[in-house]
Amino acid sequence: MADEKYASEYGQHLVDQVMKGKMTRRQLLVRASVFGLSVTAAGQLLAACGGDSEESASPAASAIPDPVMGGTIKMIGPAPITDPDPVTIYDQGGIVLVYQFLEYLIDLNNDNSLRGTLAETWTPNETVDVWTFNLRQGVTFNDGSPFEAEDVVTSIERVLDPDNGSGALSQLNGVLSPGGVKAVDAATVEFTLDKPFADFPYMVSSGNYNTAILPRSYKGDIIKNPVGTGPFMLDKYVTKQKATFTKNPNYWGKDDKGNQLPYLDGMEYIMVEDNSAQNLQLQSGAIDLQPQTVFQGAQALFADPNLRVDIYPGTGIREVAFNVDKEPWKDNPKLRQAVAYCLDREAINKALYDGRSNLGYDTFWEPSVFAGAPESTPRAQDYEKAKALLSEAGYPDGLEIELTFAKYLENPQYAQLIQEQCKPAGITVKLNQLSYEAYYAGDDADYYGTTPWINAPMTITEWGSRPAPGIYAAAMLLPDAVWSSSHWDNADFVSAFDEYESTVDEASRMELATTLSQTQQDETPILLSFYITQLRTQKKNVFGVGGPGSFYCDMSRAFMTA
Amino acid sequence: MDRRNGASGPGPDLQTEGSHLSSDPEMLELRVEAAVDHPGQELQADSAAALEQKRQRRYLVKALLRSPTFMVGMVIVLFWIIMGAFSVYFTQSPTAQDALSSLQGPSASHWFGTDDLGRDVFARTMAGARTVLIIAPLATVLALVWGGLIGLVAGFWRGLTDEIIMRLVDVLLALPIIITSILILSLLGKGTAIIIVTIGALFTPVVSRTIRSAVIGEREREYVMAARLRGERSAFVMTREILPNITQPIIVEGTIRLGYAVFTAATLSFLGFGLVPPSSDWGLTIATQRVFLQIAPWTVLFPALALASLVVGVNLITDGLGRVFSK
Amino acid sequence: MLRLIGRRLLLMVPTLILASILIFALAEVLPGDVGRSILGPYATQEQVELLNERLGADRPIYVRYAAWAGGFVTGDWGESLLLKVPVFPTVMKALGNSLVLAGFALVLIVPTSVLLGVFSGLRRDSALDRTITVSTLSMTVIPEFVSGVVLLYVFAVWLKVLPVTAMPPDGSPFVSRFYYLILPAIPLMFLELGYIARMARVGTVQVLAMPYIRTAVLKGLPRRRVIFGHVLRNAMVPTVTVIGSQVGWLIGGLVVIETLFVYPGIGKLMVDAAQTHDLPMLEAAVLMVAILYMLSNLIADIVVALLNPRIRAGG
Repeated sequence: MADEKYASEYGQHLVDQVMKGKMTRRQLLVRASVFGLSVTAAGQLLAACGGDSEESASPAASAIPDPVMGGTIKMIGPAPITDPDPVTIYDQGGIVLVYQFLEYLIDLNNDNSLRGTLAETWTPNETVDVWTFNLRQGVTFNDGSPFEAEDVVTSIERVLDPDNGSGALSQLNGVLSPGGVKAVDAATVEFTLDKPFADFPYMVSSGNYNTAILPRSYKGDIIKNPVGTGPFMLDKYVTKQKATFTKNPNYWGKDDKGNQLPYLDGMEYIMVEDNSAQNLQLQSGAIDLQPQTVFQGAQALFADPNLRVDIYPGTGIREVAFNVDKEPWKDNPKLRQAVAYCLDREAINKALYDGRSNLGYDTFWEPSVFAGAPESTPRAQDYEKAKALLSEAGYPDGLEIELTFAKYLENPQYAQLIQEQCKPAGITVKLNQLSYEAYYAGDDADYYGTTPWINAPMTITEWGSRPAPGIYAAAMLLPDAVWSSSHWDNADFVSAFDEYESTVDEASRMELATTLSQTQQDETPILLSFYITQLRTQKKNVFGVGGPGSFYCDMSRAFMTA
Repeated sequence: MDRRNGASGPGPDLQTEGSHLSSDPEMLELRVEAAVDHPGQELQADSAAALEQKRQRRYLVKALLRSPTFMVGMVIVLFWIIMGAFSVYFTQSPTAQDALSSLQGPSASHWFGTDDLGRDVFARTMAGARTVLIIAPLATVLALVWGGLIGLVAGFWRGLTDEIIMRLVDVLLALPIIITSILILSLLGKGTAIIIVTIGALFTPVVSRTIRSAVIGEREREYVMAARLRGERSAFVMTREILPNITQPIIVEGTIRLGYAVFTAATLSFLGFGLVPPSSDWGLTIATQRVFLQIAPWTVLFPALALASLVVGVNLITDGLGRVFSK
Repeated sequence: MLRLIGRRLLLMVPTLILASILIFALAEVLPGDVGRSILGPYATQEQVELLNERLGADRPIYVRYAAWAGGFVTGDWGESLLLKVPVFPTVMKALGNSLVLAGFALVLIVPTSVLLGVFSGLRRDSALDRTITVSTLSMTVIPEFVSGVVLLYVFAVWLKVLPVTAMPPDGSPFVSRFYYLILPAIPLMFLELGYIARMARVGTVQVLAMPYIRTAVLKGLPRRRVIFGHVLRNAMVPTVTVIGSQVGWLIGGLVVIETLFVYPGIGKLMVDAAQTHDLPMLEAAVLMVAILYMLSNLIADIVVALLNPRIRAGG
């Protein structure tokens, strides 16, 4: 089949890149997974490169004991903000909840490589604007109905329908439109994109929360009818208090040894808003697992002898955007760079994340975070340079700028760090702290034209993990991106990006990525000082909890020893 | 948060532990008679009354100075006033960060340790008095002015005006404070002035109740009747006759409210309204450092102790005043 | 007496109406809207508008108020806009929880503080008096968000002698709830002891100054009988008044305690509803708390009148 030939050509291409020293093995694994090559196939490619295959990115892989069947685990996290609807949820509580009994076409591994879940393989055509997904066979929903292509089509089309209010619509904007999803046969789905996009599989993965696969008969109200293909089933749901899950006896998944998954008999998700209250419950022994541990206050958890804090590489960011449509940032990249050189990124990392996160240098193509990114130019605190840039920018005596942010997580601390670090260069930063609601509020008539998040001159916005630099760039650096706080419109960047997403040739992608990265650093539309490492806390006898993303956790392989 | 909503019910006003010393009826009747019958002699009677009042005031002050409760309270409050105003001149900078030595315990270089951004907790604790000492007194004064006006009008005129006003006050008191402050502050935004206005507004209903009771107690007295018989206008009677004679309950109410204002300002900051970083405000600090309580308790402990001591100090002053006035 | 009660009950109605209007108006001007709360910041403007239309949230305010008021008085409290659960049982359940906590706290607080207050009043200006006054005062200024965390850490995490949450597991007997409520009640005790003790002290001092007390003692009545017969009864007058006014806060104002101890009370319900523009939930919760506040004041006044015959005669 043409697909297979194309796939094997692409595979060969990857091996070539590694042999030439232009890609690492890790990068090969990631790109191979994006391209839809199965783990076995990718492993074969690695073998073809020679040398040992790399271990996976899950922490302490060698120290994991053998799985134990049975048991009920207690997890803790925030309650869903609204009655959860997989099509529209956007908050941690809602996402963790639905993820337990719903599944996606593709899942993210801890290193942001892709793993097929409801899809087995997927390949693009030559022009990378039609992707064909081969679906897993023999899967049923927990009400007995079979999982088929029709379910995928209705699920994705539902998300694309503007009437349904899904946030995923904005993410798929420009890439996939209603009507672009077709069932070729019961086991195959074809996505016809609006434009070539090499990172498309990420967009129908668990990284895009609203694309969970629902049965074609879905009419809303998932809580009353929790029908999904996932490893667990929703048993009881008490609003704002807790949810109980039981094992799905007909789950399609099996582990490497052929054992039926999931290992656990059931789970309880206890809903607690306050982070310190969550930590106290962990420490008292009442809770087994906290899927998402916040850095502030986590030191106590690290020190607790009964708990284990797992550290995952993360890609979450706090975007500091310069609104280039407004003064003083308009047409003034030197000024923006001046601010960048005021930052002591190590100190910021230490203050906010105890030094555990990865440093960022104002570009999305950061090799320590995203496999496949070219080398970036580090930026250290340099007041000489900052002052020189300020003069060139037309502000030899410094200036006053305003920074707007929401009182949420560590944003206030970050803002204070920026404020203090800009002082010696003569830049006075005025802090404009808003409540979370006010920061994201806007006029009904023109939300995106009035909300502070998108319109204030300089903002801090928190972003959950995105699996690839291309996804980030598409979401906030392109002129047609609805969520762009920087309003950056750079023709060179845009054309390079379009090329970048329309080719699967790794050599050209690397070249283009280098251009993109440099442009982003030169123009500095946004500041990226760090990529946030994820923390997950559990009792010492809990293992196998997967999923790297900001919000969800994969419990299909979780288990507890005695 | 001022949860002391509607503190006095319809019964006798029990917040005032004192009596109305300076409103001795005989003394004032003398004044009135003199004014009506002997215009020339009014001056003489006036000076006699004035002398008497001066003597009483000096007596009061002496009694206060001798009261240990009052003095301890004054010392504490004065300490914080000095710290709030001048500490920046002799401590380290409250905003200078040193992220690489964040969350360190008390040491020789940082007497109270450092916070999560590496700032000196001692400097911030001392400087944090400033916001509270600006906000609380001003908010209290606002509440006294607004509440006093409402209480005077309602208590003096009684009748329908009183009924309507008091019903409105009841409505305000019935609304849960937290909701009202969230709604008001979300609407008005942030900043010191906003907090002052909000706390002033929150306390106004309670103050109006107390003032109203005091006014009702006064209006039946003969000097008031005499003034009305004389044909004086209501505004005159209210401000020139009644008001000076209820200064004591006003003062006591003011000092009580001051204590609550301090606490309320801190709690509002805790809830995330009003003050913003990098302010050293105690409430704000406690709120932001609370997550580090287990691993770096000094970041919360010292501002909490400071806040406690200030409120205790103010309450001791109130207590002292109350004891002296009721002797 | 009955007339007084009747009049007060009647007056509650216009007060409640005004209060409900006020809340509606204030919630209206809060930034954001319910559609945005449901769909989040990543949904488009059109999507949010559609949802607002579907929820009826875009109608003019007086229409919405009338619709809500009509439903409210007929017992149809509607559905939470965000959580899709019926408002009535949710609010009632939360209210019940708050009442249990408030009741339990009062059972602990009232006898202790009255005793302390009466003792300090009896031994006025003594060392005991001053100690009690200063220490109870110092406790009142400890914010509940500090005392709560410290208590939780010491007793639930370190010593592990008390539970870390305030609700027992499902199916536990009702009595076990009080064991779980011990920790959350303590910060409340700190906050209220000083205030109520002071009122008891004031009442005691005033009564002791009354001539008839001295007469009773001179007449030879045993001091203990005098105290329990008269002093206590009259010391309770200001105390009961104050307790009545505090009940409102003890029910509706405990957002921090409810958050820290994970207790599904009505304080947190209200705050969440306010911040997400869930108007049916907010209105119902606020009005219930207001009703309870007014009722508790009324009951306090009735008790005071019963204690003090002179006031009773006033009608």
